[in-house]
Amino acid sequence: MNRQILLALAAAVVAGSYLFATWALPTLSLGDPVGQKLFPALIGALMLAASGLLLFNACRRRRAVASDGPPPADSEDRPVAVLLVWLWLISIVVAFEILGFALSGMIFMGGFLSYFHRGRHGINAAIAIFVPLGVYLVFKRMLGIPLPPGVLWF
Amino acid sequence: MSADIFSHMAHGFSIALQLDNLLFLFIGTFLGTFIGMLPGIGPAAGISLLLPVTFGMDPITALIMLAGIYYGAMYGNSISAILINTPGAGSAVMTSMDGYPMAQKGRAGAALAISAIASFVAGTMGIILLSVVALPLSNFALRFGPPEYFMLMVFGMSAVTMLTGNSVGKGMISLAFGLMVASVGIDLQSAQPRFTFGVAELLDGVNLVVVIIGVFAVAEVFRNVELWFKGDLKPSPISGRLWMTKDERRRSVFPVLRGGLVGFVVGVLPGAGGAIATILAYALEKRVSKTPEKFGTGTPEGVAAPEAANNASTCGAFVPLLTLGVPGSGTTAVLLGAFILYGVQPGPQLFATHPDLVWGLIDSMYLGNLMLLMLNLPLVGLFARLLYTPPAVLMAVILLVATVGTYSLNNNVFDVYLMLGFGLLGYGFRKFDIPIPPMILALVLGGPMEQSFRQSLVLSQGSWDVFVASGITIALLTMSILSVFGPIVQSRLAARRSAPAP
Repeated sequence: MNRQILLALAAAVVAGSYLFATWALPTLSLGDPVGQKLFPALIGALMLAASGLLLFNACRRRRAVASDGPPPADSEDRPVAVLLVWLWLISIVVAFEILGFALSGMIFMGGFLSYFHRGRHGINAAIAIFVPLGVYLVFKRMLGIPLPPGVLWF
Repeated sequence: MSADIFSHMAHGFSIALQLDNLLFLFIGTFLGTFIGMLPGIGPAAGISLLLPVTFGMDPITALIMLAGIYYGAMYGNSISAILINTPGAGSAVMTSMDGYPMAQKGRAGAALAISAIASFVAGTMGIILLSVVALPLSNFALRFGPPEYFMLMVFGMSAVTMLTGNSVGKGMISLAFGLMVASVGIDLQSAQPRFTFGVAELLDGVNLVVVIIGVFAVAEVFRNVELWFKGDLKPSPISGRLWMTKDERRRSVFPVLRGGLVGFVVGVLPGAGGAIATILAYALEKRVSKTPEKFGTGTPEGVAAPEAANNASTCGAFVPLLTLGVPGSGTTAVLLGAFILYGVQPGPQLFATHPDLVWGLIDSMYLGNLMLLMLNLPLVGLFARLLYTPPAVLMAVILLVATVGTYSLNNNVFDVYLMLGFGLLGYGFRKFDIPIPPMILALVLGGPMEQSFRQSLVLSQGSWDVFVASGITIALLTMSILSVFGPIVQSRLAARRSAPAP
């Protein structure tokens, strides 16, 4: 399926779900002739219109280029790699409140750099230790923003 | 009247030039720039964080320092938008549209210099306008009721949807999605939660900064991860001169002047804010450009106009604050709190009752802008060198600072998860070539837009005629329609003209 059509269908699903959630909202006018549903309903309608427009354009274009065959896949796509980095981030955020910002930051940076900045062990270790510490000091000590201390003593 | 203004300004300079005021002005602009560069800490949070530092100071000195933090942070936001595609606030989103592509093409130094000079020139323009036309303009701003605001927001959204990206449908998807996210949280009129699905953290809605950091900074890292696997990830060294070329300087002059004017006028309207000012300035520039197709690929005009509008809108925002006591944005609301804290009530009488403070503050802005320029221009080279950092190290630092910046918004891990979710969404948007600015604008304006819409209909007892009842609403509606259909008609006509004759 062409990307354009896939996007149009996804937009239609999002619009449908949003309109359903809007419809399920309680009706409380309280002197407000509009109520809390009208504006979200208009947003849902806008999304549906966008989906229809995309579908219309995709079908028109498809007819025009039917003889050219399917478009080539994007050679830059590496969704699995992105997903793995994303999961690495999620696991670090899970550890964030338990281990504290400084320690989880060091683990995150150490892991990330040892994969993406290979072979520079000394530099990577220095960055992984001092950057999180520096950020921690700027945010916590200078700006007074509370960050979870976790298992470290400071 | 002009003689009066000059004597007031001379008096203001005598106050602003006092050594302690100059010192704290410098500290304010310096800290503001630094804070603005950190994702998650915008001017409002910066002022709130540093407000306790000013306790015990003379009120004039304190307010001069706080105002310095305000416009310093507005400039600092642009540095991270240009260098690492991480706008710290909605008002820097449009700067990243062309600033970041310029940096990727090796023109980071030029983009930063354009940004610094545009901010200085437009900021100075804005202060002159603030000195001269503050009172008449505040009367104009009073003519904007809920229907006018609603139509202004409709115009802003239609302009940005049509001017970013190549597909109207995709722009509409981005816009509608932003409006959907903006509708999450407590409905202000009925006090009922909407679309929160029982999650307590969503009752206050989705924080704009969380979304911005996710869809810009985190999504950019994901794109770089892909490039790394492809072997295409390299630093973006400066190509050619570090400074602006003659051509870049020439092309920035009129966008700065036009952007400054648009920014100031929009800044005067309470609630419109810097984001809409930058979008309208960008839209105007793209409209008048002979090469509109180059916008978004790294044009100096695309940096100069929004940067000018951003800084001028900051000055414009002081008009309703000082003359009406009405804060036009979250940051000016915090500043209003600071005024009240120091026993000063902004409003129509302020110019008469506290001339020292008003004119000292206004004149300190001239000096603050000059300081920002002197502080930042020599640092352009240093900031641009940041891009020589190995990309993997830069990616790790961006993710770390994005995480801590997001966490610091509410001291809440939920926001960090949300940011990571929006990071994936931003990655998806890029893959499907969906423009991101319409979503950000919708998120900024969605709440106020719904409020204006509902207030208008309450005032008119449900009659939709209220949206075409005044000259301002009709003009804005016409501009919205033209901004949507104008380019479509234009491209159809151009296609027909270029089609071969049968």
